[in-house]
Amino acid sequence: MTRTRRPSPQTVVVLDALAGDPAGWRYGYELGQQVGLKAGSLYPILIRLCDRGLLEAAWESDPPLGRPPRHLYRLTGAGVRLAAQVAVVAPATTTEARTRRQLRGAW
Amino acid sequence: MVTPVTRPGRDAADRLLAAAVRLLPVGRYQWGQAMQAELAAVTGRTERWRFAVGCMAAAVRQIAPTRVGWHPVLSACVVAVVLAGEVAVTQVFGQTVPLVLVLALLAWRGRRAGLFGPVRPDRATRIVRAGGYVIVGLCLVFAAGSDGRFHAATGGVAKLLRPDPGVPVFALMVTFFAGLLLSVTAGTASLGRTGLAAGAGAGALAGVAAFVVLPFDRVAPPLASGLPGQGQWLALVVFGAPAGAAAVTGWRTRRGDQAVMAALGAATPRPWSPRCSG
Repeated sequence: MTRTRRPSPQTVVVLDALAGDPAGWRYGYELGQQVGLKAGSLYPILIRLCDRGLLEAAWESDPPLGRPPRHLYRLTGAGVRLAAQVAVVAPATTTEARTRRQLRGAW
Repeated sequence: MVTPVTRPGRDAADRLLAAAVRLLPVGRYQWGQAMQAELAAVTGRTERWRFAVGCMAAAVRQIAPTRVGWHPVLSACVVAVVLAGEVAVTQVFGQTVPLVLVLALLAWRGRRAGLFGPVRPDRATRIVRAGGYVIVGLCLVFAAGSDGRFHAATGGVAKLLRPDPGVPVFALMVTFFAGLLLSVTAGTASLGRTGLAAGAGAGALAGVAAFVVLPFDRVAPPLASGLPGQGQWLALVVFGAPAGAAAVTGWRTRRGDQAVMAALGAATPRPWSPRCSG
């Protein structure tokens, strides 16, 4: 039997941000800026979500000249359902979530 | 899905991240390329460094201990840093202090999942690890006592902090032994119970034999001086123990790799005997 663990507060914040526009693709850097997580915290979360089939990733098809294509992310159907599920019991205020991020999101 | 071609490093942050990405396992390499591509879109020197350092931390976590073990390059770097730190601290505080710190670090790692732990749950392995801890403890006592730091007449805590110039060979050997002990008794170790028991048993026997044969540093004759033939036949035990361990293990398991590892394990305790005898 697989044990289901509740997502961490940082993961919940990322799910919430992505669920804001489920059909839209997001860049990693901008997503990190929005949720207040540094790359050292954000990318392990994105990798885990992708491994579990909750997030899909794709390379942008038409990058600007002189720059390599960037990775784009959006939630899968399962990811959207999970985001809705955890949003019900997530911290009510943005301030509380941001405080937790500041305390734990150094990396 | 289009796999991008990564541009050559643009600045130091880019090059450092590229170096970290090269250490990623195959299954994570695309994520490394994604981080590099994202860094290319970040502007501002400070922000680029902040993002690059975060990505390197994320990359290291992907290389982090698995059920098999650390990436060999990263392992070598960690080992080199720890040993170099041990040598450096010895120059200032003597062998005892850095040895205690390094052994405490290894003991801590020995309780956590990874290359050194946790200990395999069978009785034989637990006994070997406990016995190894006893040997390490005795070595620590000898390290602290061998320079007269516990002499009551000139005692005091300050005596423990006497500098010890030169390469701390004994401290490094004890460190190596402790690391080897933990790695062969960990749950992830590939040495089976037969090889472990044979290696540990033969090693202990060889260690005792070496201790009995060697003189006590011009203070007293060897313990073997009262034995028939001055105990010179004990040298056969000392040098034959690894072969014996390999033979027993190979015969029982029918595996050459297990036999070799058992022989290495049996050969390890012998260097301590000359140090412990004086």
